[in-house]
Amino acid sequence: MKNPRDVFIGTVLIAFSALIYQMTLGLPAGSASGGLAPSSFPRALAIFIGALSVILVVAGIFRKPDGEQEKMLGPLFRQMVAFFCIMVVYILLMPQIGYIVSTLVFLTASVLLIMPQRKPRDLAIGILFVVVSSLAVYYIFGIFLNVPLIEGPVDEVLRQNVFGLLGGK
Amino acid sequence: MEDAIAALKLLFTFKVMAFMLAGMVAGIMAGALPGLTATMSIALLVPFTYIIDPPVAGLMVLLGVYVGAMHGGAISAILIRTPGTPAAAATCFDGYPLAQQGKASLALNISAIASTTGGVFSTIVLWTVAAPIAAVALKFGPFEMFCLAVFGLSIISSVAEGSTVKGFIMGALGMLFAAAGRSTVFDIERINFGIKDLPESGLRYIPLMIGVFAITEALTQIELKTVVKKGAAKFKNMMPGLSQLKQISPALAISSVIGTVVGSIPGAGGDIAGFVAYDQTKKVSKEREKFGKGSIEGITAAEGANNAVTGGAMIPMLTLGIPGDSVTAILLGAMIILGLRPGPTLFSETDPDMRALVAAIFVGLLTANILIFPVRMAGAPLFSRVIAISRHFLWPLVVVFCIVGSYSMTNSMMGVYIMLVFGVFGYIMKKFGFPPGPLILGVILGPIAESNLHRALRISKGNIAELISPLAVILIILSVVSVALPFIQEAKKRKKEPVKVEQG
Repeated sequence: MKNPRDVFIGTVLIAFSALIYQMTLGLPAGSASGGLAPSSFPRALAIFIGALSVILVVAGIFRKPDGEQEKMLGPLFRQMVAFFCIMVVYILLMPQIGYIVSTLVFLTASVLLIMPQRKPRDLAIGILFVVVSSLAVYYIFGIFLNVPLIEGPVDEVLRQNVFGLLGGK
Repeated sequence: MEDAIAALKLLFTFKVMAFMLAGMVAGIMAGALPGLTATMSIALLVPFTYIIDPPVAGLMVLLGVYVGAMHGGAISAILIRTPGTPAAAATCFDGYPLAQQGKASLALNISAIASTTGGVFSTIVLWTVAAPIAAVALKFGPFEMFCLAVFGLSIISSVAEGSTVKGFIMGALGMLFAAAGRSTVFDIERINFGIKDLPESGLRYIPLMIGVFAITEALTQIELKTVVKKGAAKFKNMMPGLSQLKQISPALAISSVIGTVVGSIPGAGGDIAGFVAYDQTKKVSKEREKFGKGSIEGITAAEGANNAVTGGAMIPMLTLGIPGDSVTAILLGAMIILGLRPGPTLFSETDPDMRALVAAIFVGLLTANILIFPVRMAGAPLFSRVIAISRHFLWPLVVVFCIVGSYSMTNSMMGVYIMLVFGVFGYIMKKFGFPPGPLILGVILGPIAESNLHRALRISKGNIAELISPLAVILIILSVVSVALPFIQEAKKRKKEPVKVEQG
């Protein structure tokens, strides 16, 4: 096997296209008007993806990749995984506690995670950045542009008592 | 003329101009930051422009970002030899050497002049040719429109960086994702993976784009150990003299024409335009030996061409509804969300408000291309500092924007979940060498292809032979050539390369 990466992803895509094909079997197949059936287009795409994936797999077995392949995992892979987990928690927390508190927590955690050095001066700048950017995004988008944001108890208090005084809607 | 006057009235209000300026500044900053591309910036901002009132202000933000990002790419190319956007790749050749000679400001000012000239020229060309092309395209029936969409999809072979097969797989996946959920053509739920409340296709693809471009990039950048290069030391403001302006004028003309032409070819973007113009300018230059060592003509060629692409790329997008690259694909999607229908019918709108909005695109693009010059001059010190923004501030904030934008687009967490899923999908596919651009082309063009083929077949009662017209044949031939060409070029390249002997 000359290119195991392509063989792997090609195999996954073949399985995916088979799944899609199977899903289209439950859709109406014919069209009385002479036009396409609801299943025609997705089914054709599933076959197309499957066929190209077979080419990918076969090429991966017999042909080496062009040039050197980059390493699969970057030097800070663990940091990225931790960041992704923080992001998922942020997304799950937001509907429960609202934009402001969840964003403050997310930005604090992620800035601390990615920051290379945690000297007192850097931490102070970090805290300032977290507070100012969270509130600025909330004010510019949530109040000034009236973009819908998820509101929690803190957001409501801010909207009514602080930003309300600054001329927000 | 009436439309142009109406457009001027729409545009020249404090609010609209302020939004356009804000878009330009944001675009320049994003363009200057390696990792933040024009495509990603526009994808991030689309949800917010959807809400801005009046809609023309939202449109101007996007045009401002587009023009700004193309300019901004030159800043990091010149100061730290890292193109902020792929389009600015050729700018590094002479921009950085000039900065090393203590003439960073001269390089930046020359790039501003070249970019502005290229952008203005291409907008004038767009303005001139758009309506006649659209008038021809108006004669297209549903089958020709289907063939046109197929031709648009065939350019995947050009926009797919690396493997063409992977590019086509991504394009097909894009079409599949666009087909999932409730079909407006058939009024039926299909391949929805059991999720009943998927937002309609148009609203769904903005979170998808944010995921594929912004979340993927954030995860990729955080994984990399990047060393922030320091820019050139403090520099004096150096404007080019008259003799230098005279020297760069042939390069301005060459690059503006090349950029516009290359930009109008679907699949060929700013990076290709920059390299072609650089090469052609070098061939006619009297100071060829200076190229690569800090030639002001070299900077002019690269920057003039990559900005002339902005107007050129809008020709197929506005007149045929076919985006030539990922940026125009996102712009096209944004215009649809704002109520416009890019394509042949765009120029035959009867509603005076819509006609004014269409004219506003041209006037706005021209205005943005002119206004960007003073913005860049005035903001040069600020924009030069942007490249030093720490990654621990930048990427978490980008994620906040992604989430706020995806939520606001669908007014539900579903948009955020779609963004997250496609962020992970984009990251994994990137690891396996799949380019994201074709996915977006598939998402945009897939529904056009399906609905038009369905309509055409219904009209002909399923008789395909009845649908064949000379125009359809031409489009099919063009599609076949477009698909085959990269394979032929690749095969030729392989033949020329010495055969590597494999062992084991």
